[in-house]
Amino acid sequence: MVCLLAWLRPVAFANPLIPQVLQDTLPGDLAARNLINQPVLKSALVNAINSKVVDLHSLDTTPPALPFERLGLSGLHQGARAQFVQYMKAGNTATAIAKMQRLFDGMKDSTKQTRYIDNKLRGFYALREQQLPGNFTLPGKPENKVKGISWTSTYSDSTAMMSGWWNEGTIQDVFSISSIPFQLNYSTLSGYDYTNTSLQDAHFMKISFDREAYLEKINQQLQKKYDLKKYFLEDLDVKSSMKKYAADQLVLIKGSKDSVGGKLSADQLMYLDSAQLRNVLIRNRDTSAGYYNKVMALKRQLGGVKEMNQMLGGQQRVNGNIQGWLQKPENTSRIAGNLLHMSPLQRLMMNMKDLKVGSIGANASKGSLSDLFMTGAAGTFLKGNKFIMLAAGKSNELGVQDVGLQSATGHGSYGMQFLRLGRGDIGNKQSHVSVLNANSKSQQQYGFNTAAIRRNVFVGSVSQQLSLGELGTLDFELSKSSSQFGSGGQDAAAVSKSAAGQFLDDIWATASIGMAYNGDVKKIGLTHKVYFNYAGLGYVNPGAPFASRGTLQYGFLVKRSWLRNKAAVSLRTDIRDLAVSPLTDNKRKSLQYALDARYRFTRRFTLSMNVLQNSLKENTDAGKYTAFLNRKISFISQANGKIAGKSFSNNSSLGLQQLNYMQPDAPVKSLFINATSMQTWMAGPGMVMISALYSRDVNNAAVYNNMLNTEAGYQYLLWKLSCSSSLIYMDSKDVVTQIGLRQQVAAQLFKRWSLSISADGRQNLRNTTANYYYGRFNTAMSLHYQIN
Amino acid sequence: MKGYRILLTGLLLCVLLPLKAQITFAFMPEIQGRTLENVYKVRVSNPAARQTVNLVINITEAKSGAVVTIRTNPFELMPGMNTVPPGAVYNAVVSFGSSKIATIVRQSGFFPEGDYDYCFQLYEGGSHSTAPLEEQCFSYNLQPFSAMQLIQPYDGDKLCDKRPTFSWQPLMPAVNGVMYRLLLVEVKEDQQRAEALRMNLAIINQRQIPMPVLLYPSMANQLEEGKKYAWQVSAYKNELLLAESEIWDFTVECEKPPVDPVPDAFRNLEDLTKGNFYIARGQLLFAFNNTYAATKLQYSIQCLTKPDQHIKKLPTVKVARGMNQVVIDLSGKSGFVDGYFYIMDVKLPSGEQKQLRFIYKQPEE
Repeated sequence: MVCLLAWLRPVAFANPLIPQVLQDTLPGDLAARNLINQPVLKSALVNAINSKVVDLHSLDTTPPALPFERLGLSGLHQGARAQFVQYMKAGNTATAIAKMQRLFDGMKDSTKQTRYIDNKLRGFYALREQQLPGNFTLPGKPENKVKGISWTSTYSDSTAMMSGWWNEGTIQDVFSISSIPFQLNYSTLSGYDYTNTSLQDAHFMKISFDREAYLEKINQQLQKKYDLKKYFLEDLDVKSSMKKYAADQLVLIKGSKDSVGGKLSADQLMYLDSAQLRNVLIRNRDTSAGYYNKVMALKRQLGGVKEMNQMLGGQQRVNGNIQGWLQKPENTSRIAGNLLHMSPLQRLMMNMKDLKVGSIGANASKGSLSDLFMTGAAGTFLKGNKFIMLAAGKSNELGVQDVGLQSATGHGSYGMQFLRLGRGDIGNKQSHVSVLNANSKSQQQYGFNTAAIRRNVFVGSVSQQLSLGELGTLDFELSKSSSQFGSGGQDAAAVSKSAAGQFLDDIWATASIGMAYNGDVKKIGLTHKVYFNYAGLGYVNPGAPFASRGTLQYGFLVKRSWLRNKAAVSLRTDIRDLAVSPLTDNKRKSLQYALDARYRFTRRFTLSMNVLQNSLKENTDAGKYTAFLNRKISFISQANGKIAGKSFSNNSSLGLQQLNYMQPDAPVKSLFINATSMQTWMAGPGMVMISALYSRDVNNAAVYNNMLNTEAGYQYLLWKLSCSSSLIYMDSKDVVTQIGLRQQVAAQLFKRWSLSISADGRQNLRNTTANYYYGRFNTAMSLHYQIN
Repeated sequence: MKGYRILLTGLLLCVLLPLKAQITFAFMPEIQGRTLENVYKVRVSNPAARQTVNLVINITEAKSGAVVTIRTNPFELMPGMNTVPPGAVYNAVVSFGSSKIATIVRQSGFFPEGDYDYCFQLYEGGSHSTAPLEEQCFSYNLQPFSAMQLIQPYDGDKLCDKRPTFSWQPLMPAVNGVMYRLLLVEVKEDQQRAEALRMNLAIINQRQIPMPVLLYPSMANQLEEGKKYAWQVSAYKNELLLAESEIWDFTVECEKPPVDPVPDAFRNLEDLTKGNFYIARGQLLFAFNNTYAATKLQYSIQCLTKPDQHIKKLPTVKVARGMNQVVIDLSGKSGFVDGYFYIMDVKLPSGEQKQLRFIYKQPEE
């Protein structure tokens, strides 16, 4: 068994990325062994090939002329040899064949080359019928297919919406070059304001490597050419082959010495242990030293009885595992390198986890790249345990949605380069080092014209994830930034050198440390997380534009569920100390506590409760005070079921919220009662929907958010159009009172087109000058063209 | 009379000449004085003719002394209102003091808490050896802005509310006229939230929010179940963006109603009673033909594993004439334990008695 597995285990099995399940089922000490020491299996394979291929007795003498004897393949008959040679040549150019020939001619008995041939032999055995002569490349014809096109236009006269009109157009396209599939996403966002001045259109193009489609493609080609079960020798009759091998060897031994004995059978040789075998030999009077020694050597080769039984019995267990393993393209593609002819680029792409070019988001970890949006390229390569991530591009501080604003945040636009490498993948056990180099840039886009001061930032990070086994995982990240404002006369390269060169300056002020522990106890449905983060006041990372600075954060999350997730409770705290100065201990303290509890009474009724407190306390020279307080308790119910045979669903909540905050003139102290309810039920051919939101400040301190919004609508099918009509009544105390009608229509046209239109018109029953954002008309139209 | 006129003109000139040379700086330290990237956004008003100048910005802190000095490249000062051109800013010479405060500014570009003086000196030509054309200082006792922490819906949360209320911490210290802007977008498949926020058509792009809470706008279409959404809040004053929060996301996901059984899940009661133990996953399903009038099904269930366990409050089952597909929901009823054996006695409307043995299995949640 052990031997079989050792041989069965192709390179792919040594890869740590193979699902843990399979690895666990395979003993770990097998990697060192291989087929060279397994003549039994090799012989079984040769027999199987011999019986599969018709013996033509005509030897193909064109190169490569394989040294079959030296490779231990003397058992192959002429027909099999000829076809095997043909298989080796398939799809190769004359030069490649000549090179292969030279390799075999000059070949010493090196393990590597024998392994190469053994692998080819297994591939040859697994070959499906009538694949020879043929080629084993991926279908290389360039392909292109439009997947979908959509256009959406919206118009709203809501006074605070920045633009009256907004248009969004998208195109999704899938294309492949040299069998490598890519997805192309193009989108455009444009708008017009109320004076009909057009905003500058934003165009986004993203090309991303479609790894899943690529692996599926490889898998398909593999399955087309090969019977992969055979590659793993799943159908090999090891037992009878072994018996045949034993019998052949016994004949050989007997033939070399004209013994009177030779009554030893293959079965005896296989199933008797050494002591029993000796007794048989004595009984048979085969006691000549030469014969005895040879028989015993053969016995050692076959292994003990125990191992043999294990091997024969265990084969089935392996078969089951392999079958499961073979169903996943990500697994089969790993052996494709051995069985298909692939170009260096195609091989490279097999290990490319991710590759994107264009307007892209980039994420690696909080201390390196996080929630970054840029124009550029990013790619992640993972082979075995080796990880490399490269990214380069330009981030812009303002997007098209920010038109009309100018930035005063202090986060500029940067051109940056990023490298991360190490062992393991992000999100798994890993130890990575990353560096980021960024240079400030001005932004001239969408009508923005922002200036920048020359600045170079260098960020180095070390990220580590440790597995604590059943206890969970431990993440640790140390990041350090170094920033340099450029002086005139120096060129950009000199500035850049100085930022990296002064990397070790001001360590505490410019370091960021993150630690997190995540764990769970599945038996009792418990998950927990504890974290601690520190960032110096001088820390800055253009790769993580929203990272905090000058903070000490810590907190935990405990979540437990009972009774098969019928009941669940979670408790969370987030504490942040925000330093304001390196000279004083004055701090802002932000505290958040949240308790969520849920109980599912039946599958049709669930009740939950949320308690939340968030406060921001100022600690200044003037004294301590609470600048902000948000306390909230709410009860939420979700119900669905049937009343008189008609389905209904209801989602309601009732809450009490205390909201105190500082305004420049005077603090605001509000106490809100919130109630919401959304109810649907089937009635007639359609569905009735009623929703209501009521929010009221008991203290009468808030101007806004004293609101009652009710909607009653009916969803129905009219001819082929699915429609929904609603009546709306909205009252915002001291601001506006509206009554309105909303109509939505959606239709599927000609199979692939779908159109949806919605319009919401309101009549102001009462309006005031305080009305900033309750408009009177809103419409949206979207058209989609979709090809599966 | 003529002399009088000359005198008057001369007097007027005397009054106007210094006015003409008066260059003024417009600077808002409470906004532009917070970061190094903003101090050079000072606006210079030039009543005189076009001239070549360079600007020196000197920032000092009351306790720590010199913080930073920025010397821009020479640029053309036009008549009227001017901003320092990008080229002159980009290549400016920046030098820092040696205090802790200066270190923080040098590294982060942000000014920590302190009592600052911002002095703007405008020199003629490219050098600053001569006396400045104009000098003006602004002082401000700076309290840095707080991080606008988002509160609800929590990052990565799942909620059933299709019109959720958003809340966040306000920007501190409170600045007169600060408003919030909330952006909510759908995060499509294969999209990262940062991509979604920049590239997608916003569902909510609401400005002029006066308080750190936003009730879901009445006009916006409600969110859809199963979709993921990303949101971000910014604080701004007039046209100046002051601070941005992190990006958070959440998913709209409601409790799933139990799925109605498919018709072929109903096997004939006759067959079931003949066979071995039937497995009831949360509910008993069977079919039978009733040739009698519609009535209530008479049945009782006993636990075989623990016979002393009484089972009460079984649901009422109505049977009609003809073929009946009966569903008896047992999930959540007391007395039903996963893996226990039960027996049901049914008295059909025909008077026929049937016994159905079954194993109860808790349905998958």
